[in-house]
Amino acid sequence: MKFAMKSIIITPDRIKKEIIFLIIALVIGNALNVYAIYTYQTNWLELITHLPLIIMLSFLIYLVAFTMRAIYSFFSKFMRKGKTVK
Amino acid sequence: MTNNSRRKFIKNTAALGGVLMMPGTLLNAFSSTIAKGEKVNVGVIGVGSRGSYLIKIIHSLKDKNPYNIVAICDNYEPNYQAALKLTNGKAKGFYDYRKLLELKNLDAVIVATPLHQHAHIVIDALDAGLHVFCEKAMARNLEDTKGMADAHYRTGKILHIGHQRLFDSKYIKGMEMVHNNELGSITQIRAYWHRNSDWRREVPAGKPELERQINWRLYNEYSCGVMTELASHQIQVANWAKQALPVSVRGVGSINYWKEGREVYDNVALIYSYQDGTQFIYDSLTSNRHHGLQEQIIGDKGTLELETNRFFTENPPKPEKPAGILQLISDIEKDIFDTVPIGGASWLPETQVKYQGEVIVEDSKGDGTPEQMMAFAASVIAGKPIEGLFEHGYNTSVWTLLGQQAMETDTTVTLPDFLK
Repeated sequence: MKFAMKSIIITPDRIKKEIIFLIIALVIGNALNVYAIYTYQTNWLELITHLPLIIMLSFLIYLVAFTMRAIYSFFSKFMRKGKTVK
Repeated sequence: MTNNSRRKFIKNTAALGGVLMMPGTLLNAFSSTIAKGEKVNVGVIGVGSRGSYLIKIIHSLKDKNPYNIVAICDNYEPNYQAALKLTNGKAKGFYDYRKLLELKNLDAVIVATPLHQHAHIVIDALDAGLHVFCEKAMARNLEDTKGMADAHYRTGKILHIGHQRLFDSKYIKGMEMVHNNELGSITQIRAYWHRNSDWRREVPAGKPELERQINWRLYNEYSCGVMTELASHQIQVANWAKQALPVSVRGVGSINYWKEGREVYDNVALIYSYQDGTQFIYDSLTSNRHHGLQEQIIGDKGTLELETNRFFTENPPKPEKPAGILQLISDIEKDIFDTVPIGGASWLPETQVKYQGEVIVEDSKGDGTPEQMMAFAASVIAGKPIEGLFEHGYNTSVWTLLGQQAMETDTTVTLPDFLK
């Protein structure tokens, strides 16, 4: 039995979209840091010193958002398929 | 005692409370004299556990050793033989201390015999023109203690009472902190010494007549048990911290655990009161070692725990705050996962402050015994005592015995007239 490799094409539009989502996640991460520094009255230098942590946190936010988008996409495709069959 | 020497005795001992054991004096006492390389010819009288320990300490001083141990004395054969071995046969052995005192080449003697033998040996040695290092406590009773002081003043010879904490760097630094007001007003001193052992030494099979000689610490005729053997060290620390003497002592003691024929208390609890209202609270027991031993000097700005080399300020530095983002994450986590209390205690117990404190002295080593032996040698070479040192030991011994008296009579005891 032969397995045929399926080509996945990532379009430039898709890449652009993902980069925008990642940038939004980074903005949210930094916004959270600003909020935390202001609320807990810690040093503003933490904007720089804790950047690695914020980047990790942003990736986490991106990952969560990505998962939610994937679930949404899966269900919306499923729903569309159902409508076409009718 | 003549009127003159009595006046001198009273003058000396009355000032004792105010005697400031200057740390600098103690530390520098031996450095200059020992540097000249002079040696002290010494005899060791009583070479049981403490006496042989002192010989080992002297040997451990190696090239700095300012002693020639020329003689040893003990009337218990195993100790006598062991001590001769310790000195590699270089020391002459005696069973009778009076014979040892007749040696012509002696400068000083170290007395580490059972307590009840201190007085007559020390007085004879001083009268023989020798300087004396005598292990604490001074004597079994107040009359003997005073007799030793009289002999010291009468002969003008050094009588150094062994309280090694006076030479221990963490105690010296700690007392400097106390006297420089770094602890604020000293409002209480607490000390304890807890052991879990019967304190018995093995008596050779078939020789029950040696029981009292070997286990002398357990019999009233020879010892006050934990008071003279343990508490005396800590009473010394309390007086040092206060730079004063107690005005009264009350206490209780009993035999509540080791009921095997001993006569001395196996547990004691005492309160020594000072003129300014400070209480020194002391207890000792021999049936539990969980708390070990400690001296706590407690002031309104801080606490010293001297045995463990710790200082605890009342206002410990606040720990550095974690980064804002970490606090935020932690708070979110708590909001999600913590249980919500719907009722609780309206009062929280004032539990011990969880603060590890700071060290008093970095790299604190030993218990001060080597330094003390160096200081005694320096005193002997210089021919003069360290100022206030004898008086400090004398007062410690007096108040140790008064504590014992308070427990035995179940009364509050003050300094008797004949010692004023």
